[in-house]
Amino acid sequence: MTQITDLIKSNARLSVLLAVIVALVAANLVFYLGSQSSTDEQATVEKQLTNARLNLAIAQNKYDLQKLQTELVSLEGTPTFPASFPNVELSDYITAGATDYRITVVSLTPKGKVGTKSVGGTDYAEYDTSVQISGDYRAVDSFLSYLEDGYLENESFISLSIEKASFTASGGTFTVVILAKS
Amino acid sequence: MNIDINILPAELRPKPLIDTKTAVLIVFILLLGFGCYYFFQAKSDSQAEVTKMQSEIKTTQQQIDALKNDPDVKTLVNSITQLKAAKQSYDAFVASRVLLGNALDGVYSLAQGRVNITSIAQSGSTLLVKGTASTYTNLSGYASALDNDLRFSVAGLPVFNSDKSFSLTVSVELGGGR
Repeated sequence: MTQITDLIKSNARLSVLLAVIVALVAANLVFYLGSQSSTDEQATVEKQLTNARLNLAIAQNKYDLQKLQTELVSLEGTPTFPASFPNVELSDYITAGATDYRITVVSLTPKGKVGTKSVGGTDYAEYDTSVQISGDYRAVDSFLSYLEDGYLENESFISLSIEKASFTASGGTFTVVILAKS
Repeated sequence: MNIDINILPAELRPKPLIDTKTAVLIVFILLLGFGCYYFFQAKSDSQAEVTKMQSEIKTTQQQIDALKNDPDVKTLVNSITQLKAAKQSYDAFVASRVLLGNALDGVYSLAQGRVNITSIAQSGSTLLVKGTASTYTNLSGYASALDNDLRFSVAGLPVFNSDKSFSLTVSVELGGGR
Protein backbone atom coordinates (compact mmCIF):
# COMPACT_ATOMS: atom_id res chain seq x y z
CA MET A 1 0.00 0.00 0.00
CA THR A 2 2.77 2.31 0.98
CA GLN A 3 4.53 1.45 -2.26
CA ILE A 4 1.41 2.33 -4.29
CA THR A 5 1.06 5.63 -2.38
CA ASP A 6 4.70 6.41 -3.07
CA LEU A 7 4.28 5.50 -6.73
CA ILE A 8 1.25 7.84 -7.02
CA LYS A 9 3.12 10.63 -5.25
CA SER A 10 6.08 10.24 -7.56
CA ASN A 11 3.84 10.20 -10.66
CA ALA A 12 1.26 12.77 -9.57
CA ARG A 13 0.72 14.18 -13.06
CA LEU A 14 0.27 10.73 -14.58
CA SER A 15 -2.20 9.78 -11.86
CA VAL A 16 -4.31 12.85 -12.46
CA LEU A 17 -4.36 12.19 -16.19
CA LEU A 18 -5.39 8.55 -15.66
CA ALA A 19 -8.19 9.65 -13.30
CA VAL A 20 -9.42 12.13 -15.93
CA ILE A 21 -9.34 9.37 -18.58
CA VAL A 22 -11.37 7.02 -16.39
CA ALA A 23 -13.94 9.75 -15.76
CA LEU A 24 -14.13 10.61 -19.48
CA VAL A 25 -14.54 6.97 -20.50
CA ALA A 26 -17.42 6.71 -18.03
CA ALA A 27 -18.96 9.92 -19.38
CA ASN A 28 -18.57 8.67 -22.97
CA LEU A 29 -20.36 5.47 -22.06
CA VAL A 30 -23.24 7.35 -20.45
CA PHE A 31 -23.59 9.75 -23.39
CA TYR A 32 -23.32 6.92 -25.90
CA LEU A 33 -26.12 4.96 -24.21
CA GLY A 34 -28.19 8.14 -24.03
CA SER A 35 -27.71 8.88 -27.72
CA GLN A 36 -28.60 5.27 -28.65
CA SER A 37 -31.78 5.50 -26.59
CA SER A 38 -32.70 8.77 -28.30
CA THR A 39 -32.01 7.26 -31.73
CA ASP A 40 -34.31 4.32 -30.95
CA GLU A 41 -37.00 6.69 -29.72
CA GLN A 42 -36.59 8.78 -32.88
CA ALA A 43 -37.06 5.70 -35.06
CA THR A 44 -40.24 4.79 -33.17
CA VAL A 45 -41.65 8.31 -33.41
CA GLU A 46 -40.74 8.43 -37.13
CA LYS A 47 -42.90 5.32 -37.67
CA GLN A 48 -45.72 6.93 -35.69
CA LEU A 49 -45.43 10.06 -37.81
CA THR A 50 -45.52 8.03 -41.03
CA ASN A 51 -48.66 6.27 -39.77
CA ALA A 52 -50.23 9.57 -38.75
CA ARG A 53 -49.54 11.07 -42.18
CA LEU A 54 -51.00 7.96 -43.83
CA ASN A 55 -54.08 8.13 -41.60
CA LEU A 56 -54.50 11.78 -42.48
CA ALA A 57 -54.33 10.98 -46.19
CA ILE A 58 -56.90 8.20 -45.69
CA ALA A 59 -59.16 10.50 -43.65
CA GLN A 60 -58.88 13.27 -46.25
CA ASN A 61 -59.97 10.78 -48.89
CA LYS A 62 -62.65 9.14 -46.72
CA TYR A 63 -64.22 12.33 -45.41
CA ASP A 64 -63.99 14.36 -48.59
CA LEU A 65 -67.31 16.22 -48.69
CA GLN A 66 -67.60 16.16 -52.45
CA LYS A 67 -66.91 12.43 -52.61
CA LEU A 68 -69.37 11.73 -49.80
CA GLN A 69 -72.05 13.76 -51.54
CA THR A 70 -71.45 11.88 -54.80
CA GLU A 71 -71.66 8.56 -52.94
CA LEU A 72 -74.88 9.62 -51.24
CA VAL A 73 -76.44 10.61 -54.55
CA SER A 74 -75.46 7.22 -56.03
CA LEU A 75 -77.14 5.44 -53.11
CA GLU A 76 -80.30 7.52 -53.01
CA GLY A 77 -82.21 5.14 -55.27
CA THR A 78 -81.51 2.20 -52.96
CA PRO A 79 -84.72 0.36 -52.05
CA THR A 80 -85.31 0.34 -48.31
CA PHE A 81 -87.53 -1.97 -46.31
CA PRO A 82 -90.72 -0.40 -44.94
CA ALA A 83 -90.49 1.31 -41.57
CA SER A 84 -93.55 -0.53 -40.28
CA PHE A 85 -95.97 -3.21 -41.40
CA PRO A 86 -98.07 -1.73 -44.25
CA ASN A 87 -101.29 -3.44 -43.16
CA VAL A 88 -103.84 -1.36 -45.05
CA GLU A 89 -101.67 -1.16 -48.16
CA LEU A 90 -101.20 -4.94 -48.14
CA SER A 91 -104.93 -5.53 -47.91
CA ASP A 92 -105.53 -3.18 -50.85
CA TYR A 93 -102.69 -4.75 -52.78
CA ILE A 94 -103.99 -8.30 -52.39
CA THR A 95 -107.54 -7.26 -53.22
CA ALA A 96 -106.46 -5.40 -56.37
CA GLY A 97 -104.39 -8.38 -57.55
CA ALA A 98 -107.17 -10.85 -56.86
CA THR A 99 -109.55 -8.82 -58.99
CA ASP A 100 -107.07 -8.40 -61.84
CA TYR A 101 -106.07 -12.08 -61.93
CA ARG A 102 -109.53 -13.57 -61.27
CA ILE A 103 -108.60 -15.05 -57.93
CA THR A 104 -111.04 -15.49 -55.07
CA VAL A 105 -109.63 -14.76 -51.66
CA VAL A 106 -111.28 -17.42 -49.48
CA SER A 107 -109.65 -16.26 -46.25
CA LEU A 108 -106.98 -13.83 -45.10
CA THR A 109 -105.59 -14.04 -41.57
CA PRO A 110 -103.03 -11.48 -40.37
CA LYS A 111 -100.72 -13.11 -37.81
CA GLY A 112 -99.01 -9.89 -36.83
CA LYS A 113 -95.37 -9.78 -35.86
CA VAL A 114 -94.15 -13.35 -35.52
CA GLY A 115 -90.48 -12.68 -34.81
CA THR A 116 -87.37 -11.15 -36.27
CA LYS A 117 -85.24 -12.16 -39.21
CA SER A 118 -81.66 -11.19 -39.95
CA VAL A 119 -81.13 -10.08 -43.53
CA GLY A 120 -77.72 -8.84 -44.67
CA GLY A 121 -76.59 -8.40 -41.08
CA THR A 122 -79.62 -6.34 -39.97
CA ASP A 123 -82.57 -7.63 -37.94
CA TYR A 124 -86.06 -6.92 -39.26
CA ALA A 125 -89.48 -7.58 -37.81
CA GLU A 126 -91.33 -10.37 -39.62
CA TYR A 127 -95.06 -10.02 -40.23
CA ASP A 128 -97.01 -13.02 -41.51
CA THR A 129 -100.38 -13.09 -43.21
CA SER A 130 -102.02 -16.42 -44.07
CA VAL A 131 -103.98 -16.40 -47.29
CA GLN A 132 -106.29 -18.99 -48.81
CA ILE A 133 -107.28 -18.52 -52.44
CA SER A 134 -109.16 -20.32 -55.15
CA GLY A 135 -108.51 -20.13 -58.88
CA ASP A 136 -106.94 -22.19 -61.66
CA TYR A 137 -103.21 -22.71 -61.67
CA ARG A 138 -102.47 -20.12 -64.36
CA ALA A 139 -104.35 -17.49 -62.40
CA VAL A 140 -102.56 -18.57 -59.22
CA ASP A 141 -99.13 -18.33 -60.91
CA SER A 142 -99.89 -14.87 -62.24
CA PHE A 143 -101.30 -13.71 -58.92
CA LEU A 144 -98.24 -14.91 -56.99
CA SER A 145 -95.91 -13.27 -59.53
CA TYR A 146 -97.88 -10.05 -59.13
CA LEU A 147 -97.48 -10.19 -55.36
CA GLU A 148 -93.76 -10.91 -55.60
CA ASP A 149 -93.15 -8.22 -58.19
CA GLY A 150 -95.09 -5.68 -56.17
CA TYR A 151 -91.97 -3.79 -55.21
CA LEU A 152 -91.68 -2.52 -58.75
CA GLU A 153 -94.66 -0.29 -58.16
CA ASN A 154 -94.72 0.23 -54.43
CA GLU A 155 -91.73 0.34 -52.09
CA SER A 156 -93.90 -0.99 -49.26
CA PHE A 157 -93.65 -4.48 -50.68
CA ILE A 158 -89.99 -4.79 -51.62
CA SER A 159 -89.54 -7.12 -48.64
CA LEU A 160 -92.49 -9.35 -49.53
CA SER A 161 -91.98 -13.06 -49.94
CA ILE A 162 -94.28 -16.05 -50.10
CA GLU A 163 -93.70 -19.04 -47.85
CA LYS A 164 -95.37 -22.26 -46.70
CA ALA A 165 -97.35 -22.51 -49.93
CA SER A 166 -99.50 -25.46 -50.86
CA PHE A 167 -101.53 -25.64 -54.07
CA THR A 168 -103.91 -27.91 -55.90
CA ALA A 169 -105.47 -27.42 -59.33
CA SER A 170 -108.22 -25.26 -57.84
CA GLY A 171 -106.27 -22.99 -55.47
CA GLY A 172 -104.30 -23.22 -52.27
CA THR A 173 -102.87 -21.57 -49.20
CA PHE A 174 -99.73 -19.55 -48.58
CA THR A 175 -98.22 -17.10 -46.15
CA VAL A 176 -97.29 -13.58 -47.19
CA VAL A 177 -94.21 -12.54 -45.25
CA ILE A 178 -93.25 -8.88 -45.04
CA LEU A 179 -90.09 -7.67 -43.34
CA ALA A 180 -90.21 -4.21 -41.76
CA LYS A 181 -87.82 -2.10 -39.71
CA SER A 182 -90.12 -2.25 -36.70
CA MET B 1 32.07 8.27 -31.90
CA ASN B 2 29.76 10.50 -29.72
CA ILE B 3 31.34 12.82 -27.19
CA ASP B 4 29.08 14.04 -24.34
CA ILE B 5 30.20 17.61 -23.59
CA ASN B 6 27.32 18.26 -21.05
CA ILE B 7 29.16 18.49 -17.77
CA LEU B 8 25.90 18.83 -15.67
CA PRO B 9 24.81 15.66 -13.90
CA ALA B 10 21.53 14.14 -15.23
CA GLU B 11 19.48 15.24 -12.16
CA LEU B 12 20.36 18.92 -12.75
CA ARG B 13 19.80 19.00 -16.47
CA PRO B 14 16.48 20.81 -17.63
CA LYS B 15 13.63 18.39 -18.24
CA PRO B 16 11.28 18.70 -21.28
CA LEU B 17 7.95 20.44 -20.53
CA ILE B 18 5.98 17.20 -21.00
CA ASP B 19 7.25 13.78 -21.70
CA THR B 20 5.95 11.57 -24.54
CA LYS B 21 3.78 9.43 -22.23
CA THR B 22 2.00 12.51 -20.88
CA ALA B 23 1.52 13.92 -24.37
CA VAL B 24 -0.12 10.69 -25.53
CA LEU B 25 -2.43 10.71 -22.50
CA ILE B 26 -3.43 14.31 -23.18
CA VAL B 27 -4.24 13.51 -26.80
CA PHE B 28 -6.31 10.54 -25.56
CA ILE B 29 -8.15 12.82 -23.13
CA LEU B 30 -8.89 15.26 -25.92
CA LEU B 31 -10.30 12.45 -28.05
CA LEU B 32 -12.47 11.27 -25.18
CA GLY B 33 -13.64 14.83 -24.63
CA PHE B 34 -14.61 15.08 -28.29
CA GLY B 35 -16.44 11.76 -27.97
CA CYS B 36 -18.42 13.12 -25.02
CA TYR B 37 -19.36 16.18 -27.03
CA TYR B 38 -20.30 14.12 -30.09
CA PHE B 39 -22.59 11.72 -28.22
CA PHE B 40 -24.17 14.55 -26.21
CA GLN B 41 -24.85 16.49 -29.40
CA ALA B 42 -26.31 13.41 -31.10
CA LYS B 43 -28.65 12.88 -28.18
CA SER B 44 -29.71 16.53 -28.19
CA ASP B 45 -30.36 16.45 -31.95
CA SER B 46 -32.43 13.28 -31.64
CA GLN B 47 -34.47 14.70 -28.81
CA ALA B 48 -35.11 17.91 -30.73
CA GLU B 49 -36.22 15.86 -33.74
CA VAL B 50 -38.46 13.67 -31.56
CA THR B 51 -40.11 16.75 -30.03
CA LYS B 52 -40.68 18.20 -33.49
CA MET B 53 -42.17 14.96 -34.82
CA GLN B 54 -44.39 14.49 -31.77
CA SER B 55 -45.74 17.97 -32.33
CA GLU B 56 -46.45 17.11 -35.97
CA ILE B 57 -48.20 13.87 -34.94
CA LYS B 58 -50.40 15.84 -32.56
CA THR B 59 -51.27 18.33 -35.29
CA THR B 60 -52.02 15.52 -37.74
CA GLN B 61 -54.27 13.80 -35.20
CA GLN B 62 -56.10 17.07 -34.62
CA GLN B 63 -56.61 17.43 -38.38
CA ILE B 64 -58.01 13.87 -38.57
CA ASP B 65 -60.36 14.56 -35.65
CA ALA B 66 -61.49 17.80 -37.27
CA LEU B 67 -62.27 15.94 -40.51
CA LYS B 68 -64.15 13.20 -38.65
CA ASN B 69 -66.14 15.54 -36.47
CA ASP B 70 -67.21 17.95 -39.19
CA PRO B 71 -71.03 18.12 -38.78
CA ASP B 72 -71.61 17.95 -42.54
CA VAL B 73 -69.36 14.90 -42.82
CA LYS B 74 -71.10 13.24 -39.87
CA THR B 75 -74.52 13.74 -41.43
CA LEU B 76 -73.39 12.44 -44.80
CA VAL B 77 -71.55 9.44 -43.32
CA ASN B 78 -74.60 8.57 -41.23
CA SER B 79 -76.92 8.71 -44.24
CA ILE B 80 -74.50 6.69 -46.38
CA THR B 81 -74.11 4.05 -43.66
CA GLN B 82 -77.89 3.65 -43.39
CA LEU B 83 -78.35 3.42 -47.14
CA LYS B 84 -75.50 0.94 -47.47
CA ALA B 85 -77.05 -1.23 -44.76
CA ALA B 86 -80.40 -0.99 -46.57
CA LYS B 87 -78.77 -1.95 -49.86
CA GLN B 88 -76.95 -4.86 -48.23
CA SER B 89 -80.24 -6.09 -46.74
CA TYR B 90 -82.10 -5.68 -50.00
CA ASP B 91 -79.39 -7.47 -52.03
CA ALA B 92 -79.27 -10.31 -49.51
CA PHE B 93 -83.07 -10.56 -49.50
CA VAL B 94 -83.32 -10.66 -53.30
CA ALA B 95 -80.53 -13.22 -53.55
CA SER B 96 -82.11 -15.52 -50.97
CA ARG B 97 -85.79 -15.43 -51.78
CA VAL B 98 -87.76 -17.99 -53.72
CA LEU B 99 -89.78 -16.50 -56.57
CA LEU B 100 -92.73 -18.82 -56.13
CA GLY B 101 -94.96 -17.45 -58.89
CA ASN B 102 -92.16 -17.86 -61.40
CA ALA B 103 -91.37 -21.33 -60.02
CA LEU B 104 -94.96 -22.53 -60.21
CA ASP B 105 -95.20 -21.22 -63.74
CA GLY B 106 -92.17 -23.35 -64.69
CA VAL B 107 -93.43 -26.44 -62.87
CA TYR B 108 -96.85 -26.25 -64.57
CA SER B 109 -95.70 -25.26 -68.05
CA LEU B 110 -93.06 -28.02 -68.23
CA ALA B 111 -95.69 -30.57 -67.19
CA GLN B 112 -97.78 -29.92 -70.31
CA GLY B 113 -98.19 -33.15 -72.31
CA ARG B 114 -96.06 -35.16 -69.89
CA VAL B 115 -97.73 -35.41 -66.48
CA ASN B 116 -100.80 -34.19 -64.65
CA ILE B 117 -100.07 -32.22 -61.47
CA THR B 118 -102.50 -32.58 -58.58
CA SER B 119 -100.66 -30.70 -55.83
CA ILE B 120 -97.56 -28.68 -55.06
CA ALA B 121 -96.30 -28.07 -51.53
CA GLN B 122 -93.54 -25.60 -50.73
CA SER B 123 -91.09 -25.91 -47.86
CA GLY B 124 -88.37 -23.29 -47.96
CA SER B 125 -86.81 -23.53 -51.40
CA THR B 126 -88.10 -27.04 -52.03
CA LEU B 127 -91.27 -28.00 -53.89
CA LEU B 128 -92.91 -31.39 -53.50
CA VAL B 129 -94.79 -31.98 -56.74
CA LYS B 130 -97.45 -34.71 -56.77
CA GLY B 131 -99.58 -35.92 -59.64
CA THR B 132 -100.17 -38.69 -62.14
CA ALA B 133 -98.24 -39.78 -65.21
CA SER B 134 -99.34 -42.28 -67.83
CA THR B 135 -95.83 -43.81 -68.06
CA TYR B 136 -92.58 -43.59 -66.16
CA THR B 137 -90.96 -42.33 -69.38
CA ASN B 138 -93.23 -39.30 -69.31
CA LEU B 139 -92.38 -38.69 -65.66
CA SER B 140 -88.66 -39.07 -66.37
CA GLY B 141 -88.96 -36.64 -69.28
CA TYR B 142 -90.69 -34.17 -66.99
CA ALA B 143 -87.95 -34.53 -64.35
CA SER B 144 -85.27 -33.99 -67.02
CA ALA B 145 -87.08 -30.93 -68.36
CA LEU B 146 -87.22 -29.47 -64.83
CA ASP B 147 -83.57 -30.23 -64.19
CA ASN B 148 -82.54 -28.64 -67.48
CA ASP B 149 -84.42 -25.48 -66.54
CA LEU B 150 -82.16 -22.88 -64.89
CA ARG B 151 -84.75 -22.30 -62.19
CA PHE B 152 -84.75 -25.86 -60.81
CA SER B 153 -82.70 -28.81 -59.63
CA VAL B 154 -84.40 -32.17 -59.20
CA ALA B 155 -83.52 -33.79 -55.90
CA GLY B 156 -83.32 -37.60 -56.06
CA LEU B 157 -85.26 -39.97 -58.25
CA PRO B 158 -88.94 -39.32 -58.91
CA VAL B 159 -91.24 -41.80 -57.13
CA PHE B 160 -93.65 -43.59 -59.50
CA ASN B 161 -96.38 -45.82 -58.08
CA SER B 162 -98.39 -48.64 -59.66
CA ASP B 163 -101.53 -46.49 -59.59
CA LYS B 164 -99.68 -44.04 -61.91
CA SER B 165 -99.28 -41.46 -59.18
CA PHE B 166 -95.89 -39.84 -58.66
CA SER B 167 -94.06 -37.50 -56.36
CA LEU B 168 -91.07 -35.43 -57.22
CA THR B 169 -88.90 -33.15 -55.10
CA VAL B 170 -87.58 -30.03 -56.82
CA SER B 171 -85.20 -27.43 -55.44
CA VAL B 172 -85.92 -23.92 -56.61
CA GLU B 173 -82.87 -21.80 -57.25
CA LEU B 174 -82.75 -18.85 -54.90
CA GLY B 175 -83.07 -15.42 -56.38
CA GLY B 176 -84.82 -16.63 -59.51
CA GLY B 177 -82.37 -18.94 -61.23
CA ARG B 178 -78.87 -20.39 -61.43
